[in-house]
This record gives sequence, structure tokens and C-alpha cells, in this order.
Amino acid sequence: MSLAHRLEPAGEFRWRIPRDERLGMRTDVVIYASQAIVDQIARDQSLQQAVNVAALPGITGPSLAMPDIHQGYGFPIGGVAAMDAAHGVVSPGGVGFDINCGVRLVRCALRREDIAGRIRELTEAVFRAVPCGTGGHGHIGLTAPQLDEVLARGARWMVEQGYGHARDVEFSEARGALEGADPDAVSARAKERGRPQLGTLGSGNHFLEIQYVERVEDAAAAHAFGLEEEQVVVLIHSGSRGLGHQVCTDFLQQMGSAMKKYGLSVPDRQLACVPVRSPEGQAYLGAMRAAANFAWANRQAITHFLRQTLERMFGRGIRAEVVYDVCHNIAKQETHLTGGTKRDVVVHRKGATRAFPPQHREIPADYREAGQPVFIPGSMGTASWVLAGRQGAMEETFGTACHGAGRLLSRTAAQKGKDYRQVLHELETSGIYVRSETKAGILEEIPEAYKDVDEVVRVVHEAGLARRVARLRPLGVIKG
Amino acid sequence: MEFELLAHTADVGFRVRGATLPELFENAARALMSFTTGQSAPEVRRVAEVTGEDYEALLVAWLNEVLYLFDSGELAPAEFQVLSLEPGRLTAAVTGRPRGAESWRLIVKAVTYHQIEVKQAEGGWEATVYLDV
Repeated sequence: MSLAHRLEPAGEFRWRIPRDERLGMRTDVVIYASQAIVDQIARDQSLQQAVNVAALPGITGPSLAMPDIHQGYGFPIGGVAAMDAAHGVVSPGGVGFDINCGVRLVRCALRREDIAGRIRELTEAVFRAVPCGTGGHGHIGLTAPQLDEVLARGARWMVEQGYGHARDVEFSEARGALEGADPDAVSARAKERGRPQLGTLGSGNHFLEIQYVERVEDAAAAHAFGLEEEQVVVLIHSGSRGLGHQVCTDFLQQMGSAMKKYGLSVPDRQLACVPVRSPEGQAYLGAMRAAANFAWANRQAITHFLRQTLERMFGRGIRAEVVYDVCHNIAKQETHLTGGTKRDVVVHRKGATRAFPPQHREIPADYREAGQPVFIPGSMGTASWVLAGRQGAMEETFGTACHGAGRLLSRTAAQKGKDYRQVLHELETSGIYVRSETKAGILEEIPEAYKDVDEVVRVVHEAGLARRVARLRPLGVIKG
Repeated sequence: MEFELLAHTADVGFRVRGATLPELFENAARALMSFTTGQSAPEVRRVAEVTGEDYEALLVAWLNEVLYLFDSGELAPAEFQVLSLEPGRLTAAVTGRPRGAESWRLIVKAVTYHQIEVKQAEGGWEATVYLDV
């Protein structure tokens, strides 16, 4: 049963389910949404999942959900929860199987007119350079010691090996690697699954899109991010591949018995959790950080293959610079002001993006006035957004904004009555060339399967979490 | 073997039945492999052993093992036979051909614990499983 009837308006674009001990809640649920989005949320179990998160021990502040909220497993997608670092828990389900799934935006020294008539050629060339599918092997053969370097040092190690420039990591969240990664906490099986997959895109909603800047809404921030109208950019959405999936699987299996030891119980087994400070919690965090570093290295490798392709087509020296790189499936230790006091918390972002405001010291100096860039991919036929973090996010959401449009239809419902060729044709008519490894990869991801990205972005903009900087439109799409 | 697909906004689930518990586990593996293309001939045999604190955990571990056999390229599992099943431990034979052109139709990343359930139902046993896709 949906809990929609329990939602109370809590200010503009804010809704609340007050704490109710009968539901096991330790805190309120707060959701950022418009009326239209609330009507959609009521259709699936995402509210129940946000209520379940509110039951986790050590949760600090409310169980939060962004406007792209939809039903996940354990946590809702779009869910944010900060756990007290000393007395709270860490939950692998609050990060998900695709650890450090994230988005990187690359700006190219090309204008839309420069690639007109060559979109198909460019998309096909990138498709060949960046393999997609599950089990798909990449072009980088890593030895076992090299994989450990990737796990310990992420994109930074890749850059040292010649897969990019020092500037790339300066313009990444956490500078392309989390400290405290423990490669020894990653199982042999996880390493075996990940080793051949570095430099591959992955499946499902992962993609690489060649886009152009359709409209700038905040000229100063766009200038700081090096973006102008008609400019060609590439949005890369990928994660830690089989390595991350296996890390999550391994730790979920261990946590069942560990929870008994610590006297913990949860409403959904996918929410399995252990105290942050326990040996099991520390082992998970070490392995999760290693998997996150693999994901950053992966997006770095994809950037390298993209640059090689651009150079082959448009000449050596063509510039392709990283605007920024953000993760949206992660648990990170951060310090936040809650209830007037500074506290160390482990912020779980399950399909949610860090959105630090202007002047935050973790933002590159060039972006200090603008705020941290946040990328919101829409569905393949519509648009994506560049936003910048605002102070409101720091005050209300542990420095967090949304991560995408959010699914509306199940994968099976999306495919119903849809013809593959017709979908491709419709997209091509609107100027979008799509290349996919599988037919399902396209049918499941049709634009109608998603919420309206403009509406989702309007909510975070109006609520003061992040502001609109530029709207991007796709030209070429590569899907797993 | 029949199973029922369950709607989920982002992922996919299935409900599967078996006259006995071993049959339920075999059918669940077949349901998982129905998301791949083609069934290969049973030429190679692997014996898989998994542990789990209860039937639910055991089922998740078993299906993740089958998924791993496929994803690692070791084989495209086609037939499943439970050799022994006791609380906490499952041993099963998995046969198939070394994986060649077989791929996922719907690419499954992992088997989740989300709303996982193994229970006695009319005419045998029934399980509910959600997959991360």
C-alpha cells in the first residue's frame, strides 16, 4: 500500500511523513517534489522504502528523497541518509550494487556545426572504442598488481600511466580517488570480474552521449565551467562494473550474520547494515572505496578512448577537457552542521549527487564562485542538465541534489507495444542517432519510461538545492 | 518450468514454484537464465557449493553463483541439479557449454535480498526474487 496519504506539505516543494514509531521510524521522511511528481511517486513502493530507511540506527536528520525518487531495492533510488559516524550504521544497500556509478562531463573544442553530418560516424567510432555489454572486455589488460593500484588510487593512477592529464583529476569529486580504500578487502572473485572490464561502459541505464549546449541559464557559472551555447560536450555515465556488483554481493552475504551479532534488525533484508565502527563496517567501507576508485579509473579510461577517437576524426590536439566528475551511488564520511553542531556522518547517496555550494573548500578553485557542478542526465530522447550546488543543499540535504530524471515505467512496461525500428526512427527524426549493443537496451530506456527531467530539475532549483546552469541536448547516444 | 514476472519500476522480479525445495532452487536458476539468449548443450559440469543462514540467503547465494558462472565466461549454464540441500548449505551440479555467443537479453547485475521470500505454498514451495538490472 502506498503511504502517499501520510505526506504532509512542508513548505515549497517539500513534503514530510512525520516520524511514526509504529512504522519503526526514528526520524521524519522529507521529500523534495512538485505536486505532479508526488502523484507519480504514489504509484510504487518508494515511499515505503524511504520510511524503511528512517528506521536505520544512527540516522541523523531526516530520511531524504530527491524529486527523481523511484522504487529501488532497500533504499529508494534518489534516497539520502546521513548516519552518525560514531554510533550509526553503514548499509551496502544504501550504496547499491553499482558502487560509484557516476557521471563525467567532457567539453570539446567543437561546435555543433563542426560535427553536423558526421554524428553517425562519430557515434560509431566511439562505440567501437568503448565496449559496452556485460562480460564485455575492455582494451586495457591489467595485471593483478596493477588492479590493486587502480583500487588504491583510482583515476590518479590512470593519469600517471598516461590515460589522461593531471587536470582531469583536479576536476573530479574526491580528485578521482577516495582515501582509505582497502584493496585487500575486495574478494578474489570481485577482482576477477573487474580486471578485464576497465574501460567498458556497462549496460542498463549506462550510456555515453554526444550532446551540445542548447541553452545557458546562468552565464557566470557556465563561463566558469567552460560551457557556451552550441558547444559539443560528451556525458559519460558508468560505474564500477562487475567488480562493484561483486563487492556489494559479498558484503550483503556476510552482513546477515553480523547483524545478529550486533542485535540489529531491518524491515527489508536488502537494508542489511552494521555499525560504522565495527570490523565488518570498516571492511565494507574499505572495499567500497576501492570499488569507487575502480569506477573513477573506468571513467578516466573511457575519457582516454574518447579523446583518441576525437583526435582520429578531427585532428591531433583537439581539446577535450573534463568539466567535472560526480558519483551518485556512494557512502562518504563528511562533516556537516546538524542541529547547530558539527558532526561526522556517513552520507549514503543512493541515486543522489553531492552538490556543494560556492566557496566550499572541496571544489576546484576555478569553480569556487559558481559552486560544484552537478550533472542530471535525462532520458535519451530529451535533455540533460548542468546545475551548480547551492547553500540550501548544505543546510537541508547534507550537500546533496538529485541524480537523473528517475524512472516512471518498469522495464517490461516500457517495452510493451514498442517496436525497436520505430523507436530508432523516431529518435533519428528528432536528430538523435542511437547505437546500442542490444535491442532491449533501447526499448527499456525510451523517453516515456522516465519522468520529465525539466520538472525534476525545476524542483531542486526552486527548493534552493542546486541552480540551473545549462541545458544539454543529445545528438549521438551509445547504450549498453 | 514456469515463472511469473513481477513489476518493479527500476528492476525486475520473478515468482517461481517447485514441488520440492530442491526443485524450487533448480527452477529459480532456470528463471534467472531465461534472461539470457539461447540454452547451450550440457557439456561441461561444475559443482557449486554455497552457504546461507536460511533458505532465503541460500537462494540469493545460489543464484549469484549461477550468475557468476555465466558472467565469468566459464559456462552458459543450461541444466541444474541439486545434489544436496540442508539448512545452511546447498550443493548442486551446473552443466552447460563454455560460454560463447550467449549473452544477456536483459542484463542482470546481481540478485538482491529485496523482498526475498521462500515459503511453502499450495502444491510445494514458492520463492520471490528481485534482480538488479
